[in-house]
Amino acid sequence: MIISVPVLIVISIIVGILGALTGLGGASILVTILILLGIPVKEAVASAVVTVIATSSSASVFNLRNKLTHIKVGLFLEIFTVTGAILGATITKIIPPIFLYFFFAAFLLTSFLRIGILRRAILEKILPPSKQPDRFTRWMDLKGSYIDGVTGQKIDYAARNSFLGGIGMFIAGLAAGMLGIGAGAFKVTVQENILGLPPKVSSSTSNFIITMTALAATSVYLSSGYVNLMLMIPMVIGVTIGGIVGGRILNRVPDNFLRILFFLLVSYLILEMLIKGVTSL
Amino acid sequence: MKYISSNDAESAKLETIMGYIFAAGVIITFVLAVTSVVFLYHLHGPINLLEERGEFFHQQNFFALLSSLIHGSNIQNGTLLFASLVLVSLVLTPLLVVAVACIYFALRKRFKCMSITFIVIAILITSLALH
Repeated sequence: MIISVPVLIVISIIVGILGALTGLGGASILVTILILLGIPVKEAVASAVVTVIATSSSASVFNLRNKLTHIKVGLFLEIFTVTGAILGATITKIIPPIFLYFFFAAFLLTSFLRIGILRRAILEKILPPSKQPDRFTRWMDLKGSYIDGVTGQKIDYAARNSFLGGIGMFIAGLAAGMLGIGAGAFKVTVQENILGLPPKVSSSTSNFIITMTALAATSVYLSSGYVNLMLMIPMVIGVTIGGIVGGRILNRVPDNFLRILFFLLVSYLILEMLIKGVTSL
Repeated sequence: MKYISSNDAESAKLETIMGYIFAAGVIITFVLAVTSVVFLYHLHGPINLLEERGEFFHQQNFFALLSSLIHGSNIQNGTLLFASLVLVSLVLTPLLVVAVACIYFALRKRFKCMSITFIVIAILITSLALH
């Protein structure tokens, strides 16, 4: 098979569009594609994590303009995700590659928590939502408000369980660092279900956090010798274009189509990773 | 869809500054990446990325890369130079965002926020320097 630079750019544009439409981000799809093309898993992970900085940075431009990112919550949670990402990337450098296929498949399963019915059935039974912020969260003063452009209503919110949320974000960072992905779906779930932030604020703040998480993981991979610049550069170009195009057409695509696309794509990625893991045994 | 306000007026100002830094970083990175691809084509023509061994980043850490770029050492060709600059731009953009937030909070005497931001930047710089 011939994969030239223009071909990789086109693949990355398609991945960027799919990532933006499904909310998966580009990296989890890119890592799987690179592995299927025969790129060693550690090289795929290290090269993809660098592209996460590019995509989340461009998304942050729009999110910050919409005034939905809660910077203080984001910075507080970054302490945990950044530490997790450094540890995760260090683990990937050490462990045999075969484990990464199974970790990848297992972590992609958490993406299904974005589906409301599953989230309510699983998470809210384990962790019943508390109404009042705990003492530490009150001391941190993690509250805010925004005006919803659709309803025109002012929405006040206050975070709760910030320390527990921090532990959840540490796990998200660990997975992101290990697998070279943004782990956005997991981060949003933690912020919505543990910290009790509104969905729009969670998505926007999560994206801000992903930039720093990817930077932390990149810092570890830089010296590992796994970052392939020839792969990284076309992917940065393609995923950036794809992310912008995907973001622009998102509102024109029917919700049901997006749900089906998300389900099929995640299922396919999990299946491919499991097959790759099993055949590598 | 437009959203009007966020947490408070002061944070809104910081959000605008951060947005500009991210926008500048994205544009610079994109231009450098395209230039790098142009150089790659000029030097090697159409190559199969699956057959070529690739150009791997081999510096001791990020600051060693910065140093080699400043002193012009260990950069053999234009492709590698611009690819390294893409990496530098990608790393510096979020780092600059956090640094600016830290300075912003310090100037406004919001010491709780400043401390959190300082911890984040300290972890990031330590990791960039150690690995």
